[in-house]
Amino acid sequence: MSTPLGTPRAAVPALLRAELNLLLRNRTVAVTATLLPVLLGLLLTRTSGPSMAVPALAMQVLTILGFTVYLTVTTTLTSRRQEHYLKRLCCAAPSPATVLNSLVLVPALLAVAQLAVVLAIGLRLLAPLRVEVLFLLLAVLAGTICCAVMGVATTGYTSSAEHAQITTLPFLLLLLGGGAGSAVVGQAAQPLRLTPGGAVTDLVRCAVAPGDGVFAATLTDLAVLAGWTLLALLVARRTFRWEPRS
Amino acid sequence: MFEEVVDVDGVRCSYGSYEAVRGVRFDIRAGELFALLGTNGAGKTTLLETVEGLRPATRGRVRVFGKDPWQRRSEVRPRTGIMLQHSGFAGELTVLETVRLWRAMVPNAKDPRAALETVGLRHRERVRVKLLSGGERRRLDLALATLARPELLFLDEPTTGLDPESRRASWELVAGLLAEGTTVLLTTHYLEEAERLAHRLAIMHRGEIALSGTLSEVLAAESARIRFSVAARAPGLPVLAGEVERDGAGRVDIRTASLQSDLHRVLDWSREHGIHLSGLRARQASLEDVFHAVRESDGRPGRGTQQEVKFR
Repeated sequence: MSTPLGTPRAAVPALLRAELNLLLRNRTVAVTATLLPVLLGLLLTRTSGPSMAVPALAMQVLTILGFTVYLTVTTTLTSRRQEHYLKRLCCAAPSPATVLNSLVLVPALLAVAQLAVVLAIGLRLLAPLRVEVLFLLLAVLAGTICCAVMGVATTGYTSSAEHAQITTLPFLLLLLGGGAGSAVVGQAAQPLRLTPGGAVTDLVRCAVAPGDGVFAATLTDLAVLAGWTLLALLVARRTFRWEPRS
Repeated sequence: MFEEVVDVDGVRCSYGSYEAVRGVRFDIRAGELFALLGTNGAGKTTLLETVEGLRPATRGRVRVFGKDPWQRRSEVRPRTGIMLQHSGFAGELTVLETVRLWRAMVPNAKDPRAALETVGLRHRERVRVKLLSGGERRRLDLALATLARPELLFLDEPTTGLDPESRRASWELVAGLLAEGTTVLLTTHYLEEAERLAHRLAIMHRGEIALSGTLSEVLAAESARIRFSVAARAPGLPVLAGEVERDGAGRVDIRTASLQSDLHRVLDWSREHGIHLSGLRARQASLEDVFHAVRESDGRPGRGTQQEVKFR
């Protein structure tokens, strides 16, 4: 037959659109996605001075990474798997990798959009402060990738969307707890810098209140996040399933 | 084009230490409908998913269009349509959104609305999928599986949960695809479905193919039946080719390979003695008889190999 085969070009946009529709039709996700950045933005207006800038900005970034990326990826992938939707998508022309990447990309893009709003407000309020936007971008990108892959890995241990409320706790603790601790204690908190939250916070610190050796610090933070991402990839390869778990 | 669209040889599939498919061999020729029958847990779905390329075979060889459907997925998958046992719809998408998503996922798809028209779901296009009835979901499923006019169509229990009218409509749709030259691999619980649609069929039991062939070949494996009742004190029956069972109440059950001649002898005998045969029934074995025979043959020795197995 002379018909062109392989992945149709429209597949990825269609998958993204369907997934965005599904996300926004889920009330919990829709409310979190729209209200969270607004509330966090309002919180920022209460912050004043550079001493508070690092914890305030870091916690906003981490909250969005934790909830919009990590929790959403875990919850939605688990429920798509449990309703056999993942398996169905595997029956069409696009490869399983294309399908998975498209589904994960939607919460990731949503988070980047939220962060853009929140950080735009934040940077305006902190206007007198000199901010290295590049470091902020690095924090957002590296953090988003790490949390997305970790979300995929967590689905391997999650049997239902409700179960995700429990299985996501350890990593959320590492993310938010590590970040909060690192923000309060400061750059000296070595062990906390090895948590994903600590590394993101440190990147934010490099952006807002750079001390000595910013580049070394940035590289360390990126290496830490890469390490967590790699760990998540290894776990995901072993545990990710396309079919419902009983 | 390959004459043999599907070629399965010595395929085994295991989940950990459990072997769901234990050495299966069959082939499907272009344009035919091959039905895979079997009890729950016989390994039908596992075998089907292996042929679909959704899982690799643990052992043995699977070829679809002459290629390994697992290793060379991207070449095989676009030419097939798959209807899974569980539909796997996203409940919050509408019917039309679902078909549109699928149109983007397969090459050369039909118009979504025309596809919905074919399965009688056009009037439900704005309804969210979670609100559809079981039968409507199955019809939507069939619309998606056939959306790209696949050369090879897999149907895993396509009419389970349908009312008789929808089932008939689905059969017509499948018959139409067959007429256009589509090759079909079907699993079903409904023997009538296999009898109506299948060119060839196989009966699976405990991970093996117990019996396969055309419908008449498969039916020939099981004896025809003659049944009637006579008065308890009626004289003895004539010598017959088949096996006779007669109980104290006068009920007679004959299993025979030569239905016509045995029936003649029985009728001659009844006329000679002036005996009334009440509730007389004579019929060829049905697929149901064959199916039950396979099930009852459980645990008999010598049932290790497939296809050549004979049983009574």
